[in-house]
Amino acid sequence: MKISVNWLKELLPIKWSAEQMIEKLGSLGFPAESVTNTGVDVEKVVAARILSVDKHPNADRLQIAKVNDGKGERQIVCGAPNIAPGQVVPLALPGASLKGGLQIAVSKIRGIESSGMLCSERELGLSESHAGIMQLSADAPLGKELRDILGADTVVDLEVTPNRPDVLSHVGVARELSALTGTKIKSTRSIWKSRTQGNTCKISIQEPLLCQRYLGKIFLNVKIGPSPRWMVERLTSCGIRPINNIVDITNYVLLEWGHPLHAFDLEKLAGGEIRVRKANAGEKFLALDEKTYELNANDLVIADAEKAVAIAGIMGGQDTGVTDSTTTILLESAVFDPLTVRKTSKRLGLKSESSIRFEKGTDTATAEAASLRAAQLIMELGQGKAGRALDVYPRKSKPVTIELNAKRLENLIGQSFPAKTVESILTRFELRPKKSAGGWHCTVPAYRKDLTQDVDLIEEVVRITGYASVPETLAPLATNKIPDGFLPPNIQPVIETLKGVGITETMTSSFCSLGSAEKFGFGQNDLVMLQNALDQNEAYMRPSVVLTLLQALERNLNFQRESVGLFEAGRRYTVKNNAVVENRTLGLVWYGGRREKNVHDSARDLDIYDLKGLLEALGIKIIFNAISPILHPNQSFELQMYGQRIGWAGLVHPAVAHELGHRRPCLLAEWNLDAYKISAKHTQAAGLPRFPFVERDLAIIIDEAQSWAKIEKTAREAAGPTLKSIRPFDIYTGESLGAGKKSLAFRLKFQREDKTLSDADINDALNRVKQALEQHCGAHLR
Amino acid sequence: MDLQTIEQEALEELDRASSIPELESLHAKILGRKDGRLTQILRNLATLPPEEKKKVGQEANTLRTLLEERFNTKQKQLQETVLSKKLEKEKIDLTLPGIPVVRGHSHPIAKAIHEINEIFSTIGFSSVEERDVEDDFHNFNALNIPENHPARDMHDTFYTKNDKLLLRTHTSSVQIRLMEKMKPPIRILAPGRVYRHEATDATHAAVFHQVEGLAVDKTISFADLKGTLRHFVREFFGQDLKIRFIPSYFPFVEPGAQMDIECFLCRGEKKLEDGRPCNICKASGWIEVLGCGMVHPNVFRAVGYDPKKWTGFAFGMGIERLVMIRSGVRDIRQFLESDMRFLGQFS
Repeated sequence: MKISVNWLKELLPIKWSAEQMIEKLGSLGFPAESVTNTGVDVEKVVAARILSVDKHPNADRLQIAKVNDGKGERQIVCGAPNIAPGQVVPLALPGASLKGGLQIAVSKIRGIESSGMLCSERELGLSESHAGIMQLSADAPLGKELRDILGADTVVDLEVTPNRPDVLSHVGVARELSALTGTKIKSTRSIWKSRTQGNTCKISIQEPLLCQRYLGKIFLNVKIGPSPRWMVERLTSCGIRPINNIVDITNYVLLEWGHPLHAFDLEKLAGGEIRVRKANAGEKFLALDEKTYELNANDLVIADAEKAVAIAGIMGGQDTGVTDSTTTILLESAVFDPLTVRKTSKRLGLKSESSIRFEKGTDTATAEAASLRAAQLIMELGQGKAGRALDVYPRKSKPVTIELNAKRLENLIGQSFPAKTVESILTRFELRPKKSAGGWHCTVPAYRKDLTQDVDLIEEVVRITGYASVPETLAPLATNKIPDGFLPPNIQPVIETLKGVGITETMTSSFCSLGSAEKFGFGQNDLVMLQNALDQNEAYMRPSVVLTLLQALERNLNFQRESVGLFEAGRRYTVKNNAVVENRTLGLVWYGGRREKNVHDSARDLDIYDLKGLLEALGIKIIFNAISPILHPNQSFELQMYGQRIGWAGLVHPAVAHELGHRRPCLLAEWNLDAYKISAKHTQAAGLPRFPFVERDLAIIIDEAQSWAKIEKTAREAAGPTLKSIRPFDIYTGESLGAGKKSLAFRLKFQREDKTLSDADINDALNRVKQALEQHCGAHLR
Repeated sequence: MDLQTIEQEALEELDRASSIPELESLHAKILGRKDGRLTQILRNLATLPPEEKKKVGQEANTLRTLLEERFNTKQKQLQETVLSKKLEKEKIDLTLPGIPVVRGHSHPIAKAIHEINEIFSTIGFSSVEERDVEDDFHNFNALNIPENHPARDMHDTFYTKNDKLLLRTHTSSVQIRLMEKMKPPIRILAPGRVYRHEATDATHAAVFHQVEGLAVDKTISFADLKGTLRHFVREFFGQDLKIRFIPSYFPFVEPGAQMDIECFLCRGEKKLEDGRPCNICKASGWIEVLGCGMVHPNVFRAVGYDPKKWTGFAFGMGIERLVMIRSGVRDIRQFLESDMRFLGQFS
């Protein structure tokens, strides 16, 4: 909402500077989005007419202008190319002091005397424009000080929250400052006196629930023409384009009182009638913006005897608006149902200064005040004669009353307030406080629709005493047990482990395309689909975190990265049995080398065992054969924790890798983090072994297809509980072993809790292991 | 050989000895137990007449002590020489890079969330999480934002095709989810992802993160809210920046406020040292950080709490904004791009 400081000061006589006013309004909750200075506040800059322009004899870029400054002729040297004889321009006389500290004096420029300077908007502090010399209107009186012609003002664009439509006006802002300072708003006495003769208008409200009041004032002998200069300036500086005196007055009152008005050409209303009714389904309406709108039966319209002449509260019609030939007008000031206005405005995509206010709520008292103010302006400016006054008011509303308890105020804010202060603030907000048991009984003025319960009044009190004066305390730490399902698992150790091996934590978008999800084996029915996606590539919620991480990988590969490790602890979204399922998920993408070549070590590419080791370190159990279209069928796992299947991992399928343009191995893993909740078991410490262990190595030759898992299982079963661990340390294949064979060396560690093992014990166990391996695994000892 | 000759020769040879083995054989030659020259003299003492025995004995023992001492000194010298030679030989180029230990980086938003959780946990707040795909009731209605309320215009919303659900526009929905299941006293923090249906640019993202805070008890006051947020600013920005609260409107709190912090770059001066206007706070001296206020009685009613019995405060802050302010990030889109050139700057 653009507010003119001059206008505000006219309504509320306070001596603050614009800066002070802006600061105070900010502290009340209305911060300035921008501040613009209009007009000029420098002295000795006057309007002058250019008489002639000649080339400077000694400089190509300079010109010599002869001007009339109202008293006589002057010669000015000027560098701007846009001057021409006949123009009226600002002339800074010797002695003037311009913005940026420029002092004007009579001087010689390249040998030619110049007794003043022609000014650009920037030199006058009007704008940043330095495009050329500013042009004044041709009828500006020569010799008149510019600040008297342009009238200095400050226009503040205030941010007004949607709960305060009453502040979308100069009176509303003045009321706020009045409540803060106690200064009273100036009231103007009405000069309106209605007549009972002349044209009339029959007003009927067919939808009393949607139109609470309809005031109509008729003006006769109206002379349409331009508005006076001061009004044009105010409208323009508040962002409204002047049209003609009557329309301008309705806009002026809108800016002053915040209540939208509309002027009809009464002679164009069929039957001289106003009907507030629902639109007919399919009814066409040509609005003032020259567009035709199709209405439906939920829209409220103002109609004459034949057709709609305005969409109630949104826009008037082309056919019944005020034109140059209008002589009789009906000035409408009404209160329409906010929801109806909002719905119609949204559906038609038609927003106006009027609809913005109606949809937030207007009131019957302001409707009357605005109507009177407009009437006053029309008559004061001699633009029309008072005719009949009509007022249809089917539904009077009772004022809202609120009980404010003094204790409640102090408890909620944590500060004590003298009763006198509270009462005075309530009075200044026109809440008419009456002492009651423990507090005040308040009656809310009609324009404050946002005040409905005691907390609303509490805020009003504290806004005035200042949020800054509330002390800072800390409440006691008490809290109840958080219910199940709300506390996230502690995955900090997982995060630290992943970072520890060089994988970077990241965050990626929650959105994906259908195509990318299909590559992961998801169908449209498995996905959460957006109704109003911003982009077709972002029309679904990702069913996998790895999906978006692969896109992140691609970006980095495009930027010449050779190795990238990324993980994200985020959410994935799927649909199961028609319900949305969200899982806290860890996704991991690990691409390229485990180690780059350096002076100490050679390079090594990542392989599936890097991933297996990492997952095992995180306490995840690996089961074979994850089935996923993006994974290598023989280098992938299913992941388990506490006996539950929690996810999958593996090497990217070579075909997928090719498609993605991968040149190095890429490992993927994704698992559900909710499983970590179960991990709240406490470790039970075991006693330390008292007897030494013994280690022995074995080397065997077996079929290449023989798995380590089988060897380990066989050995463990044969050796019994004294075998504490078994660890392979060398695998070798070569021609000397024969085709399809491999040599496997491993180390066995034996230990007993109750005694030191003897050689005989160990040899016994080893022999059992050897025999079992020969028998069950076809092993030959080396 | 007489003692004098032994002494003279021994000292000369000792001087010449240049290695430990050389020294050891010299020691054996002179002082060796078997047939060292001096050992022999001492062994033969018994054969001498008493007068001479005493004199020679004394002189021989003195010489032995002297030589043992000299041997020790020489031995230490030689050992030191050997060691220093070894050390000299082990000189390597320490300016070469170390064996690489690659450490992953943190995402600045994830890290900030972790940090904020820690800051509030010291004053008794537990961190909770809730769903992103919400329903209208929890995201709007229960938060005192009924359908067709103009305040809904402040939330451009993504809707899903599944059961009229939506993507939460703020983490305030967690307040409702939690209070439905829990009785006061409550002190929680709820970080999470939120969504706004709006075109993205350097300062607007469709997907970003917020942290919600909620405290409900019998005597929670606006003063408690201020004290709590003071604690947060001090810890998060690491300095005692000035803060200010100005009235603002969020339908689910009343009184409602916006908290600003003093601009940490110009320290409220509005301009930089070189006189240019401060670009961080747009020459206002203040930076808007979060919205907050006292839980609206209608919110308590929506979850079945008696607003006469309980009071509470709530606050919500955009994490991207906080990190952009603190770390000078200029483009909010960088947070979801996973560009290692960006992430690699954060430890």
